[in-house]
Amino acid sequence: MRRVVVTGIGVVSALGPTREHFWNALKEGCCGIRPLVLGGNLSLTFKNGAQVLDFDSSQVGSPRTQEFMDRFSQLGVVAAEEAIKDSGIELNPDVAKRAATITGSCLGGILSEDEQYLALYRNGKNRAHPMTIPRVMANAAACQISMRYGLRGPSLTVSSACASSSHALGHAFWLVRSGIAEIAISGGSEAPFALGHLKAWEALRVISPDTCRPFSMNRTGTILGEGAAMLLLEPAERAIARGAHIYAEIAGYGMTSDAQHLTQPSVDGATRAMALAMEDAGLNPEQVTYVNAHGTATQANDIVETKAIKNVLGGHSQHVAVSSTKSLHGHALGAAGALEAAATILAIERSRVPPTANYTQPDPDCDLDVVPNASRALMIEAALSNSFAFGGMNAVLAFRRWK
Amino acid sequence: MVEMDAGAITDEVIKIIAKHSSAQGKITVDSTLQELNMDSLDAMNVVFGVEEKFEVSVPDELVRNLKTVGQIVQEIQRLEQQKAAEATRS
Repeated sequence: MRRVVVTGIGVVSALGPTREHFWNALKEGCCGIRPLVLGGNLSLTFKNGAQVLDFDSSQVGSPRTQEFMDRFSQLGVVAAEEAIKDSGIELNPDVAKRAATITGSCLGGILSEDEQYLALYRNGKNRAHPMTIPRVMANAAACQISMRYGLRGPSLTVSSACASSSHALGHAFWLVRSGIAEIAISGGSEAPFALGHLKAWEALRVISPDTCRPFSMNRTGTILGEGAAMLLLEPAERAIARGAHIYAEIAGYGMTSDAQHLTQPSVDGATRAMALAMEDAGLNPEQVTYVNAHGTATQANDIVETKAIKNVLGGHSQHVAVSSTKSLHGHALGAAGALEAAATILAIERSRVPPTANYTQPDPDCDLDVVPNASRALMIEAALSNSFAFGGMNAVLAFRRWK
Repeated sequence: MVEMDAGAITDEVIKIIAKHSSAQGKITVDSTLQELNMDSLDAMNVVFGVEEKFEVSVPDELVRNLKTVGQIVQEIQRLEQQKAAEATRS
């Protein structure tokens, strides 16, 4: 089987409009969580979120082009554009014909849906906008990307809640590794800040009234985030032959189901997913230098994830750096796994672990080295990126430094 | 809604079409949507714009017959007359 490397990264997030804005904020520990800017006048018990501010939608084209896309597609297209340009790959007909587009999204175009419901249910309108369906469908971002670049190989969208884009990247990795696709553009995008949707999160009582403090004793829940990250995956041989810059290798992918509870995470499911990713990558515990945690900052996740990391890495768990970058870019649901994969890959390439921000109080049940508040220079041989979704759907990606 | 003459309706329809067409040339009463590089989705956007602007509902079975600017204008006039007649009756 072929080895698969990442040669392009594009990111739009609350930390800024590009990959380098994203990395600089991770490195400096600058948090993208701010007071929410929302239309409408419904009250919410939480006030903060990690929104993409000042997004320039003209980057996707004319007002007419924009009209065909919900914000989640627009974010996805802009991230894909950055990743493809960054990779320097030439999308000639032979490559394009076998190029895969695999995206993750939890919610699809929920902003467009919310807007239409508001018009129909409250503002007395009797018709919905005719582009509502093509904007709202969860695969809209993947369609827009494949149409824009003429990528004519396999394309699909994975929806597995907060693990969507980790699953998407894992499947893209398989397609390229097996040779079914020659290259892949893969990741995820999400634009969840629709009032109706936020009220639904409020009812679940897992959003912090304050900020996202993963692994900290005084954590009070997660903070929602918005954004997109896309990676360009290709076989190592091709990347070397064309002299491309290689960020890192995607070395393994593990997935499991808890088959247990709709929202409560399980130690068993998380442990097995991490172990499978390491086995797939041929990694032993001592080779894992860094774990980019799912780290939502809910009471349950952080304790369960700590136990799972200890189960998998054994004694080495006390020597591994673990951080949750959700504390910086928020929990971007279907885009979370891709944002965190990008953070992990950049951490490997730049030999620096991004911190767990907003950390103020050690929790004896989360007694790992969580890299509190400041990034740390560290040579990373291999790293894991964890995603554990509602519904007990777990996806873990393993990355290795490219030598 | 103030009743408009055919010329004024045509001007409004052309404005709506221009928003959704990528064609560069002049849009006239005889222009077909096809000539204006408009596909079926663009046509749905135009019908939506017309319905919103003129407060009418174009029946599904008539939508596919609207090939030219002039036909759209005629359909709006027909629907407006129908609306006026119904208002008089009630």
